[in-house]
Amino acid sequence: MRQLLWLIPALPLAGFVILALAGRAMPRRAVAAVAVLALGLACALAVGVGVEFVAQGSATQWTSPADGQSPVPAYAWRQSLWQWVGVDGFKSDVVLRLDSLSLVFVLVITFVGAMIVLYSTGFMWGDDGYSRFFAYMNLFVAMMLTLVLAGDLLLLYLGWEGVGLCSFLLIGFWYKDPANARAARKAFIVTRLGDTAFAIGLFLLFTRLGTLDVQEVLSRAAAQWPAGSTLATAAALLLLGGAIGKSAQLPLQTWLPDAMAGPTPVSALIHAATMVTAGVYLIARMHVLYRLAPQVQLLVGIIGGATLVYAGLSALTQTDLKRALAYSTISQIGYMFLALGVGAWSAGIFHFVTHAFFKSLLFLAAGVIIQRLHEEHDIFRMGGLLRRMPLVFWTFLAGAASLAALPLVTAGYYSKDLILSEAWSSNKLLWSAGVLGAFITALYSFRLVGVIFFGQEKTAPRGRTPAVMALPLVVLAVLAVAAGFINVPPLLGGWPGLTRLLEWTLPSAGIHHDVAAEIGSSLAVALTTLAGVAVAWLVYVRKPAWSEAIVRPGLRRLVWRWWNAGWGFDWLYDRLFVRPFVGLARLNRDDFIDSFFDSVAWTSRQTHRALSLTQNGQLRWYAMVMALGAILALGVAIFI
Amino acid sequence: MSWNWTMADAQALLPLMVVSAAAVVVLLVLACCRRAGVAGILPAGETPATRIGAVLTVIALAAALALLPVAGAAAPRSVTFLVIVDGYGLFFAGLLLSACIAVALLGHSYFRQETSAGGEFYVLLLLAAAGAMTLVFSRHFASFFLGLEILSVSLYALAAYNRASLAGLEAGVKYLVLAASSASFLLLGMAFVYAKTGTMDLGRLAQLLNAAPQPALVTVGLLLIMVGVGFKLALVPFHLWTADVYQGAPAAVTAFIATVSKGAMFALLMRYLVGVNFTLQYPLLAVLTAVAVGSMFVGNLLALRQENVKRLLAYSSIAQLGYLLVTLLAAGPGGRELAIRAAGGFLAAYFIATLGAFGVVSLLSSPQREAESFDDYRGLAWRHPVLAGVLAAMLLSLAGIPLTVGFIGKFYVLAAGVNANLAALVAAMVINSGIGLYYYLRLAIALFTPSRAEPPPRVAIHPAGAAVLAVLTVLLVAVGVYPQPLLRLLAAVVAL
Amino acid sequence: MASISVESGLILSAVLFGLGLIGVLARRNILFILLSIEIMLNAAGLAFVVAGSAWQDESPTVAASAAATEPTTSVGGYKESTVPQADGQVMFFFVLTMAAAEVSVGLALVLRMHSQAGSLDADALSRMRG
Repeated sequence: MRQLLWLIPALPLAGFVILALAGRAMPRRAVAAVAVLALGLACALAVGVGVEFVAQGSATQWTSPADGQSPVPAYAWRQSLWQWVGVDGFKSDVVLRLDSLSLVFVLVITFVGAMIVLYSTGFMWGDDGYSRFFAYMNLFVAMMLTLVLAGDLLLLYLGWEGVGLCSFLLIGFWYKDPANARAARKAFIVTRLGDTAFAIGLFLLFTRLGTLDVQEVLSRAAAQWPAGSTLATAAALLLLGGAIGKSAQLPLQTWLPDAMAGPTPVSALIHAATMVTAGVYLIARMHVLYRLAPQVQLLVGIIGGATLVYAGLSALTQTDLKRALAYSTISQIGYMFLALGVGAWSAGIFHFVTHAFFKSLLFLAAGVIIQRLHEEHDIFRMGGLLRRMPLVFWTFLAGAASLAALPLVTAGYYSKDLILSEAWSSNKLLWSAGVLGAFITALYSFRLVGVIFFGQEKTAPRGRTPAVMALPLVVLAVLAVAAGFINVPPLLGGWPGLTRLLEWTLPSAGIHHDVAAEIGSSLAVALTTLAGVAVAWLVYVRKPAWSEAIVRPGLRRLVWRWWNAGWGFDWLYDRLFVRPFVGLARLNRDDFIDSFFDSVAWTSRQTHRALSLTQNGQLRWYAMVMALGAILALGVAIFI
Repeated sequence: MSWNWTMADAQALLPLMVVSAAAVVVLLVLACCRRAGVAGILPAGETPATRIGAVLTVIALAAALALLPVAGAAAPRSVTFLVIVDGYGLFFAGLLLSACIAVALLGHSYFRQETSAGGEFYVLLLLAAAGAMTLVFSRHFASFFLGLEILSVSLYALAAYNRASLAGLEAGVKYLVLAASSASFLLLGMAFVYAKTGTMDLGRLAQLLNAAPQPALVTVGLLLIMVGVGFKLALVPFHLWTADVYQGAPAAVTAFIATVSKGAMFALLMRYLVGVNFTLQYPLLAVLTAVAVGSMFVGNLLALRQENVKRLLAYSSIAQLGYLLVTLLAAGPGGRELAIRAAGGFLAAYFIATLGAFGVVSLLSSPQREAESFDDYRGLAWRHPVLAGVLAAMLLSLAGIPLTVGFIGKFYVLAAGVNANLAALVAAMVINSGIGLYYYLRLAIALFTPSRAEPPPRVAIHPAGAAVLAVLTVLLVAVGVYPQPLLRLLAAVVAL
Repeated sequence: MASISVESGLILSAVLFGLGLIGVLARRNILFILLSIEIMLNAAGLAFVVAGSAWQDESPTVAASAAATEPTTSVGGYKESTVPQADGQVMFFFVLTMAAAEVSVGLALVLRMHSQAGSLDADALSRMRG
């Protein structure tokens, strides 16, 4: 099994190649079969590899240092495939690295990916770009797997840019509408800001540490850089720049709501479950750097805390179902950042796992609703779907409950509770932000449930949900509820398997278990969540009139609108950066710096024109130039 | 002169003998076919002679390719004082033979409808291949000159192959007059060198160059030889013929001139100049540096706003050869290995991308009509999406974009230049890569923009040519991502 | 024989070569251009004969000294020889043969030029440019 590691990213890549080359000529069923098989096999293989990895790891009695010091020589499988370039001083290998962190990501990516692609075979059935869609999806999964399996930062960067490219292609999948193309460009450009920082960070790491191999970078950084050193801080900050761009955190979050222009399965896979969590992966991967730069780590937590409240309030005010879910995604990734920031490494990854299940479930269910309601996105024009779509209702409810972190019965509760109980012991302020966020989350998730499924029916759904779309919904619903049981805290009499596994790679949160505080935190979370659900129920189901009262003209309505517009970040950036930039560019059209480049271009063109005159087609002129060249060379040789 | 012919000599020369014999055999078979008139056995629309010629040629070239390891078993071996068969030569012979197979198949696709074309194309191609291989294996002025002329004389005829085309005639006449003049420069230079040193052995000459600064007559002779070499490699200022000949010749022949003819000449040049201590031969160093920088700038600037695709690729090839010269200058006495690795990698990349680009041109062209203007390529992505993709990939490789083989080649050349502290050359190369990007992308973008004019008619793609392009594209990406086999091969070659 | 020095022979061939080159550059008729190329080639051939005659009586000093200091690079069956060489004269035969081949192709092109372009003016063939 160990030797087959390379096949995990290679299978989706092969699927992409087949679909890209022959997809147009293949019947739709064959396209679907190739796409699903490629991911399904990759998933099966990942499970096989994972079982063997865990079995071997447990057999070696691997335990992380209990003191929480960075366990740099972690238990990991390395598969060196080949060397891409190697000249003295610089070499870059194509090397895969499987440790418990990347294993968790690989399992989630292949499984959720397979589920979503299966769902898409039904969802995209009537679309003209059927094979194009699945080719992109397969390429995306291949790139995402490259990203998480890369043992070399340059290869990781390849995957990083690859998923960015696929995201661009899939957001603009229906490129004939200029708005979609604009959304795709926006996503590409905004994430590019972060990627540039990331690239500079890589240059810094390479020039200072002389290597880009993940393992080497971490151990050399730990050995050469003292804690709090400027270099470590700079490197951590630059990588953080890449992470917040990819993961849509403040202040680079503005692209994600617009990215909903893509097909719904794309939103589920790329903009909820996998790609947007690449930032979380990157920070966890480079955790040694962040431990060497505590201020930056704190900054990660602050960004997470601010983002989760900000995006939660925005989600609360959305009327477009997909935009609400998009803000919710930003908010939930904020939780993961918060976890990383307070040193609850494995709790953050745990939340990634549960979030991947329940958020992709919510998106897939939303896709069904929107498709069956004739592309209706406005939740206030839905309503009363409880009886018309029971299956969708129950699965959506499972997802929403998990998102709201309904105590004890949902996966989302276990991960969120773990994050907050560890935050409690490290930073009270961030903890309060998290609890506030929990209330908002419960409020907006049950607002969605209430508005969509209860009350009066406003649009009649058509058709039925095909089995290929229903199956992923059910499977993910089960996981959204049950996935938490892989990591039940000892306090509740469970066994935290995932945390133990992740601690083979990531530092443990440390021994600060204050049982009373933990219980207090858990109770607080549970109570705020229940309060949020209750309020939502009251306002949006029992007394719908109240919900209208909230948005009566006046200050409250202004605030509501402000939140609805994502706190005006788009407006602000437009005024602050885009317009001044465009204005400057317009003013500067003939400026000094430009004229330099213009003159280069002008000189090139003129030289081109002059040189073209030498190509006058005259045979004897050609011979003359040759003779003159020879004479010139001889002259140089003799007189030099 | 004591000289005993042994089996090992025959074994070492086997590939060369196969190719030369094939030229004679194909010639005879064609003559017989035409007389006997076997038409009727073969499908109509293609003259039997063409088809038989193509099949025999490809078989012969493939056989020669397959015999290279056999010859390698006897290598390194000097066969008479004219020819040396060693790992280095065998590597380049393999490269040339592969390119010849591609050209033969492309030519077959190109001449498909032409009933009057006959099969002489293949005879000439085989002769040219034999000449090119002789160059690669040569170790003496005589074999150098013979190989060069066998190659050139075949190419005169090939360039003017389209009998109805005035452009072909023009290309042929220009190529003939200029190549013959440059060959006489080369000969005079050889005579001067011989008169002073008394040796025509290339290896010996390289030793002399390394031993001490040479008297003026030798330097003058060497520079006159460089005129002939520079002409073949289309280096500035001996480059003026390039665009006209590339444009006038049939696209498949152009591919041959751009790759095989240049590759063979460069292999010879590098074999004896790489590792030469240029600090002793300052005049040579100065001239070569000027030629390299000049080729980069002139080639790229000429290509800048060129509206004819064949000319654009011609100018681009001038610049590419300028990059390649950097490896030669970078070598120095100690850097022979790195330089050969860099040059081998770069040449392989250049072969793949150039053959691919001209292959696309060739598939879109026919003897009646060369697809050469930008208008033929605007919006190609809608008429022939796969061809457009292939051409775009080839252009990206020529521009040196990562994940293509072109990046690997350029990267190693740059690394060799940086290692040798050739700041000026490296700077010129970087600037020129920027200029190059402009026109490569300009053409690549044109492929995907809707055409303004009436689009040219869709042409049927011949399977032989399509197969060549498929192989080249796979190589382009595969070696770009996974270059190790190529690098390992090159390392083995250097060691042999 | 010995009355003509190598230097004068080489100078003669260089002058001949220059005359041929001027012919190529100055004449417009393609036939004369081909003739001038023949002159250039023969000038080179002459230089070979001159050089060959200089080396035919003695073993090459430079080569011999190089061979003495460094081990002979003999691989395979070939042994470096120090007997008087006729290499220059042999090269002259190669030059003659090749000139003949070149001219035959050249004349074929001249015929096509006459029938297709209707003129033997080299300048008329300048359709391709830029």
